[in-house]
Amino acid sequence: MLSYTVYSEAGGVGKSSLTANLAAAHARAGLDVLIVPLDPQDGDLSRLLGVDDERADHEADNLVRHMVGSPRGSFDDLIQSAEGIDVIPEHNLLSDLSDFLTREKQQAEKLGDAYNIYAQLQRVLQEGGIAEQYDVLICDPPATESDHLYNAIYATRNLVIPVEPSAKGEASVDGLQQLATNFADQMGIEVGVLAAVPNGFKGTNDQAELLEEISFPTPEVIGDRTSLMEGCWKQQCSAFTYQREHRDYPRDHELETLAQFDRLARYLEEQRGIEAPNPPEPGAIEDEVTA
Amino acid sequence: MTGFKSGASADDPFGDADETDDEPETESGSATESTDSASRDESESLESAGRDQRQETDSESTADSEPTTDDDSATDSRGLPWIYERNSITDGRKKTVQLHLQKSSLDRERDTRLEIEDVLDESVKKADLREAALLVGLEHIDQVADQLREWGYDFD
Repeated sequence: MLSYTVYSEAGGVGKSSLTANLAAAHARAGLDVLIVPLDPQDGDLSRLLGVDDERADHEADNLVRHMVGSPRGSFDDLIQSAEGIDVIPEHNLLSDLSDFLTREKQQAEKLGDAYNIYAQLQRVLQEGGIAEQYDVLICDPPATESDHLYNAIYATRNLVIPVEPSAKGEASVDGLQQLATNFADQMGIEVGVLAAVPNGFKGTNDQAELLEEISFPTPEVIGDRTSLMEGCWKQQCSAFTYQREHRDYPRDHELETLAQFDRLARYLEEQRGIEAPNPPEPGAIEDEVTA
Repeated sequence: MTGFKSGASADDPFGDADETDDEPETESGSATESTDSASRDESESLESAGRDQRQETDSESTADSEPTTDDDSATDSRGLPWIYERNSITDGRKKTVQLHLQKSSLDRERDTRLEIEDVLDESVKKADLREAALLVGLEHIDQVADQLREWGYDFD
């Protein structure tokens, strides 16, 4: 299984959009994809994919309940589908995740048991048989250093880093490298960076220079696609669906961006030796998303 | 094996059972259980795959198992069929084994899954499809032997 966390220390670099579109690109090539978004705030990935109906429902079973060992239903029932992608939707309880995990840890320690608060997402996904059911797992944690982030990294062991091509973006990559190194050392795990994805590139010399500084592979550099991404959020869909169903005529520069998502997905699959069964021509939108 | 590196991590947090992965075989379940699987070889694991599900019905032999959903192992005390009774795909599946498949087999599995989903008019979990196909295959020894001959077994 290919598993990765899409993470950037800086907010607003298109992290959730990149996650949704990579997931769509994996899925339309015939792979089984699960996304686990973990953002405690509204305006998140579940919203983008239109599966956030129960986010504020206190009665609803949710991932946090499963992570702290108080599920209200079966794990399988948490999973919803959109555009052929499976998602475990976010819930408002995610804002209290750290408190719940700390309480569980204290409880375990009172009983003399070891408890790793960063390993709970991995435990839930493993017990849920995710590796048997899916080819690709993508986590989308909030853009802050948090227990959400560490649970995501512990569960996926790999990172894809969207980068704003600016001095601020470069600093955030450096900060992330330090943060992930410390965490990996502390946990005794290995964390890999599959790719950095410069996003919102406008082609200035300054930006081009900054790209040179990135020490990770940058298989694709994605241009400024504000209009496309805003359209996706408005229609609650991936860029592939937006282009197919909501654009009155195809815009060449946007089709090229879709092709980049496809190529990036193939690149990431290759890193883990996975071959998609039906990869479309990059950027082709006449193909329906594989159910 | 710690740290942070450019390129894919070799760590496998789920004891990956995916067919495209060349990692050593591991077992699902809690992390603390996953070490004892290293000593099992694959043929033993495959043999035990059919047996494990039968343990609940006290049947020791794979030969007399019924690849149907109306035997005892497919229901719980409330009489619910297995897929409605379990909480996750691993419930009732104590052992996870890795399948190393030829690409052509994987393609056939994917095509057949779509056909079966059409027949049943609902989505079918990959793990269920595989185990059902294995059980049915174990009931048809002659055909399995023919396939093995095609691969060169019993070759004079």
